[in-house]
Amino acid sequence: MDELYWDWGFALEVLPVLLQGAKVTLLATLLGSLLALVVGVVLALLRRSRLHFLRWTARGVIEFIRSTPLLIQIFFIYYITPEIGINLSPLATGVLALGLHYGCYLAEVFRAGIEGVDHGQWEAARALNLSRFHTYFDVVFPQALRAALPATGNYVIAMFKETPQLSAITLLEMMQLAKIIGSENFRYLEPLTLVGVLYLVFSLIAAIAVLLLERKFPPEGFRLR
Amino acid sequence: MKQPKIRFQDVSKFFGDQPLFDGFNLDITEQEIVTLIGPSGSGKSTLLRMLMTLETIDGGEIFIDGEPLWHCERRSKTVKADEKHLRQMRAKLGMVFQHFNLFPHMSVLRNIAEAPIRVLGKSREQAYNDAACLLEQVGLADKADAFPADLSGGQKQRVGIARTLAMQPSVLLLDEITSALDPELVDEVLDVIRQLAATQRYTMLLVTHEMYFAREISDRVCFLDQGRIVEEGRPEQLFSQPQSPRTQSFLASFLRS
Ligand SMILES: Nc1ncnc2c1ncn2[C@@H]1O[C@H](COP(=O)(O)OP(=O)(O)OP(=O)(O)O)[C@@H](O)[C@H]1O
Ligand SMILES: [Mg+2]
Repeated sequence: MDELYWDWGFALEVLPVLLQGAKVTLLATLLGSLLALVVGVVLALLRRSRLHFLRWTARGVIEFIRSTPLLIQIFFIYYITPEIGINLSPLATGVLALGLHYGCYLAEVFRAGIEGVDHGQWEAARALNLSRFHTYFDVVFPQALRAALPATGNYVIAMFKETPQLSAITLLEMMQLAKIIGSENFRYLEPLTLVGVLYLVFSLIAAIAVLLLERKFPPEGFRLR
Repeated sequence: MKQPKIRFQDVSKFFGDQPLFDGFNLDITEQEIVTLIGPSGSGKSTLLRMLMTLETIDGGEIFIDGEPLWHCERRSKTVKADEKHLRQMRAKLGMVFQHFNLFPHMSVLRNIAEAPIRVLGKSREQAYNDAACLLEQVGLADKADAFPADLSGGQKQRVGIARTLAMQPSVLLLDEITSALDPELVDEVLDVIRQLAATQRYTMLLVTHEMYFAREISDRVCFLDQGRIVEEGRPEQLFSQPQSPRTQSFLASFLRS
């Protein structure tokens, strides 16, 4: 085997390709996060439903998805959906899998956030005759989501770092491209290192973004409009 | 005889299998100011909360302006009150809380304007204008853009009162609104209530441990013990010549502390 050395020329040559992959990675994370947010809120609300059946269904779904590996869920969606006549692109499959998987984690975060809202807030909302809708959207959610912000940020970053799993269904994200480049050129050092560095950079940016958000919305008082 | 503004009729309330109220009756006349006093756990808060629909009742009925609170007519049948009926009834009531319960993520002005916008359907401009007037009335005109976290306890409670008044209730329920405050901040809040009592026509049902305040503001004082009104009367009479031994010992314990 060749001696391990760093080839700057090769690194610069493959960087643009990897950045193309980074776009896909970021897109999958962004769309996956949005879906996870919606799934999380919906499941959190179902968990609090007055109907027994809905509560337990939501609970079952959450437990089931959280206790099976993401990779299996990715494969499952990828191979099963065509059987039932739905053809999803690898990106759509990936977004769906990430969104559902992390949505279940976020559901528990949001539920804890909602339960953490002081009981007096619900009572004030009722005494002021706010509707259920406005009680949730004007009073409870802003406070619950604020409380959930740090944990949500962590899950989004975790999701971002799990995107290489989507290479299993041929999504051309960063990791998949690095592997392809590596096998075509018999050089893995540069592409893999660059992918690692890109992950690091994006994770740091995301972590800083979460910190800035936390500062923009101090828990003791923040303006929504 | 004029119908009472509020009537508790044969109301019962259980926590677990322990009855707190069992056949409880109380009438409050329009514009009357009634103060509830009594030992901790006697049911004062629960009484206000059942009226505000924060707590259900297990028997009997509460009437507001002669209309039942917990039942309504649907398709000419009397059924358990639904949310629509409860919302209609709640419109007459306003409650100020011991711990303020301001919305921490809204400015002071928005706290007051929120429900008028969302419930009364006021325009934003109108609601903010009215909120500013109310803030001036409680002496906080300069705090419109502050957040609850920036205010002292007394200021928070004055915002709490303004927020309640913004919904134009005819009945005010005040549950120990000064007992979470430092002593030096109590009077700035009570002054607002004194002002209201002197100039407006609210029916008030209040719970307080400030006996001098109860004495000066109330038309009637009720001494509650274990879910029963043991004694009631004009404040000067009840405070100076309590008839029941339990009232006497309760008041005596207050004088001592
Ligand atoms: N949600 C509840 N679940 C169980 N018991 C309750 C509940 N709310 C009140 N109680 C009980 O009912 C009784 C009356 O409570 P309530 O809060 O009405 O008393 P209070 O007169 O307001 O007392 P305090 O002066 O301490 O405020 C108490 O014994 C209390 O433990
Ligand atoms: Mg109480």
